[in-house]
Amino acid sequence: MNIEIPKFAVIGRVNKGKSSIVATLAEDDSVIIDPLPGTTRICQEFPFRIDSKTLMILIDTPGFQDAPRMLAWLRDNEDSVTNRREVVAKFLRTFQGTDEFIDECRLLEPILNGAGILYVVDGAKPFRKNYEAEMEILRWTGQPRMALINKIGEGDHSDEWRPALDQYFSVVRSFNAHFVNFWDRVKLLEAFRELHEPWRESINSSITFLKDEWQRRQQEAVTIIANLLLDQLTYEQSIAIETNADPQKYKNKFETEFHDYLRKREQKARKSIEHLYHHLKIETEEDELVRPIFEEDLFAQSTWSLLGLTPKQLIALGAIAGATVGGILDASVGGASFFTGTILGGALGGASVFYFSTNRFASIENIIGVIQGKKLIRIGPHKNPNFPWIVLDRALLHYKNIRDLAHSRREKLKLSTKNENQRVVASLDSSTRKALNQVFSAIRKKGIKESVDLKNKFDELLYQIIHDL
Amino acid sequence: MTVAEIIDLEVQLIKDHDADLIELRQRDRKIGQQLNAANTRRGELFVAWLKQVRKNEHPSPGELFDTGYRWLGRLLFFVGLIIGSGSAASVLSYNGAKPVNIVNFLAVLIGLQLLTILFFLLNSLPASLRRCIPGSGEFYNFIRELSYLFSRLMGKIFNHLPSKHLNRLWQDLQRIKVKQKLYGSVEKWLVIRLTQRFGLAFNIGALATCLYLITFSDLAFAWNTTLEINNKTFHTITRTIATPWRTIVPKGVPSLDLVEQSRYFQLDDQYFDTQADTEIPKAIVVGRWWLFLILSLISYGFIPRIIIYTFSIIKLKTALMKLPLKSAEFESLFDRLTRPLLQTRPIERDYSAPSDQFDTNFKYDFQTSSSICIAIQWGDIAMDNDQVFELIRNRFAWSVNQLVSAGGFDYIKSNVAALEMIEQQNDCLPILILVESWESPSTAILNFIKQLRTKLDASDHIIIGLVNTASRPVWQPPNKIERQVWKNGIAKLADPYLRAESMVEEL
Repeated sequence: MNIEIPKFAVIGRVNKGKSSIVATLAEDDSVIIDPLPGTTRICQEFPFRIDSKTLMILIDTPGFQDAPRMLAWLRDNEDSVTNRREVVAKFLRTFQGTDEFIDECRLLEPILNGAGILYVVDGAKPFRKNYEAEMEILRWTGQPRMALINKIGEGDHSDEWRPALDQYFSVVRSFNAHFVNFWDRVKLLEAFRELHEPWRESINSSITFLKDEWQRRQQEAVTIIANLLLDQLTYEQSIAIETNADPQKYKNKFETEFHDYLRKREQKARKSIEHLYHHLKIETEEDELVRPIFEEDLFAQSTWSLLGLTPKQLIALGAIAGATVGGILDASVGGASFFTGTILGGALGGASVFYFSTNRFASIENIIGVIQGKKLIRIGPHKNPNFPWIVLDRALLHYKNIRDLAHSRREKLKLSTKNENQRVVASLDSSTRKALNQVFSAIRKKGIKESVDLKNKFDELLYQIIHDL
Repeated sequence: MTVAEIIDLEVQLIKDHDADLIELRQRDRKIGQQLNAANTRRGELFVAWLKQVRKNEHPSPGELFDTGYRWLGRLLFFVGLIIGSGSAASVLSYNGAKPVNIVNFLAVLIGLQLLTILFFLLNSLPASLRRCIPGSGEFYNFIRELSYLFSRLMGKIFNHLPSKHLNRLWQDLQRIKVKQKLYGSVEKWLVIRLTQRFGLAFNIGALATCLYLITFSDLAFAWNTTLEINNKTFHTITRTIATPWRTIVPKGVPSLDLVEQSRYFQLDDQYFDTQADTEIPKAIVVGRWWLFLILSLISYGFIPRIIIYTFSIIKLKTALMKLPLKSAEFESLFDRLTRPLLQTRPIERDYSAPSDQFDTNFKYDFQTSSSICIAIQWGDIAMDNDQVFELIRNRFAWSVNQLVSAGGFDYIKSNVAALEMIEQQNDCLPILILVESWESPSTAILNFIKQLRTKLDASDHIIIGLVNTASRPVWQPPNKIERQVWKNGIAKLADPYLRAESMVEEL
């Protein structure tokens, strides 16, 4: 049985956000979106394909230029309300290939070939009666129609638009192309489903695949972030220097190289996340005066003061870890130590966190060995207890923003640098924090590659965090 | 799946680690569809995938490893043959002075082999059982230390090898080392297969040499030992050793007579019962040991080696077949091969820029001393007459001579009326068309302006007054983009007496 492939022509007046809606629905950040009109000159198809099978097609169209005059022509040529679609077809035959109604002909062609209509208006601007000419023409085509109230800029005139749109369209939805998330897109697809019964199956398949794809991306994001943390926490660098050379002379160069590696590794993970969510053109310039927080340097003071765990949370985690070790000692002597182990362990754990968390940068270590007559000096892995939390926080923050970034957005991404609530890890529940802390300790001790169970546990924890974001 | 294929798979996965995720998914899903990925076994699927991805990259790290492994096997076989042959020649050396000591033969060619076979069997036991054997822990620690030293030595040797291929092989092997947990069983049987190949060659060499010496030389066998073992006990030992072939080859089992007759004392340099009268010559009697010795070598050396060698080949194949291929990278690859690829971007994109570019820096010739104008409200602009008058007065200090509408929902009549009204005007008044700044200059208004120009002199001024109606109740100027949009829009008409102005001045 041949299933009819639903097609949706995105129609509207010039500069009302048609291309933005297409970019968001098709997850295509290369769609040209320009405030200057006329960027969409021809119809462009965006097929929604699963492998080579097309399930749905979106069509970006040029905008209406002179709807009232066109409507006047249609009315002049109307014989009866029953043949209005034929009159529209006649209009197309009459003007196609001429210098008149160029854009109208282009946008009507896919509709007359069976495409459904997604009529886009700008809800930030007031309704005007002349828009009814466009709506009336679309009604004449007889195709399934839905209206989307997009919003470009401030202001909300949706209440003015709705009564008018309700008269011409079976479904009216608000859809702010710049600020919708995945579930808004799914909801819109579900609304498409209601427009025309023969399209239902195909759109259902699209929704299923879209949800599946969304889950896959989450899983892949977990792998990317887990690998980032693994590399960041275990990376070390060593060089051999002459026996009579002073290690301090190499300090700056060596430490810079070490931290640069960590920065580059983070950039690589971010790029992967961006590509995972089909943001191929996102700008990540680092030289702006006011940079969003996740564009700030990994080792910047502001990063360390705004992200990661709070000092109180860090010390608490250290104390718990120390007390656990001490508790094992107490248990081994049958409690004869009067819990001295637990108390001392807790105090030492907390104090060690306090001691190690003061430095944002890793430093070179003293000579760690001699090889072939040369001194071996090493830097890393980074020891600061807050380091994994900072890395994780930055990764989650970046992930969340990329995941929720509509593909119609063209400006640089920004987060509020003043907002304390942007710490993701600090808001995790204490059991998750504790479990993560154990994983970080294990990674630092022997690397997670050694243990499949540990890796699975880490992935599960991260998946849960990402899922709840 | 072969070891070479696993190595190549791992190397390819390492390469893919840095590749673009979208490209990877597209590449692998395409291959997955060609291979009917969902219905193919993982191992076969990955190998077929590898062939498509690698194309003609030869020699691959896996092929290099394979070649190296094969040459190492050949070398060990050759060395085994030499050592086996040498050992046999050494224990069977007879110059006519002193007979060949059977105990030596058994100890060197059978005893040592049995010991290595015993280690192999011990190693094959489950770890929990192995731990119960006294001394096994220390022994394995010792072996581990040795192997550590050996691997370090190999590392140093590899690092000094100049060959580009070998260095690459070494790097790839180092990466694979990380995956020991996954490939431990394969590695184990790879090594066992090599050692058993050596053992087999050793036995072939020893057997061939034994047969040669027995056939082409006149060997005299005897047994002697410092231990207090009487003939009967030694006979029991030899009978026990001969158990495997006792019923098949009875002649291969030494008799008590033979044992007694072939006992030899070095001190006296003579056989134990040399004085005894026998019908058979002494040399022939003591020569009867050969069959026992050959059968011992076959039964305790050659056959066990063949069995273990065959077993190691089978186990290696089984280990390769049983590889779960479920590491994170393989899971990800399987997902890329089997999961339908969702694509929403256009197959071919039209990137062509608008072909009609206009000079937006047109120099306007705008000088008017008029104090009145004709105003046209375009496209259902939401302003009452008083608001229009006030706005124009505030902006240009003009009063409005005529106010008409055009460009609305039903604009054909209103446009015609507006144009007729303007045509009838005798005064050369500026025409001010009030538009909502947030609308774009459509073909409708541009056509209207064209028609309007035909009713006016070429130098009569037409002004597009941009009104930001969305900012009400306070009148605010249109934003920069809106102004630019209108400037660009009317530039298409290339009319020097046409311009766009904000109806509220920017502060």
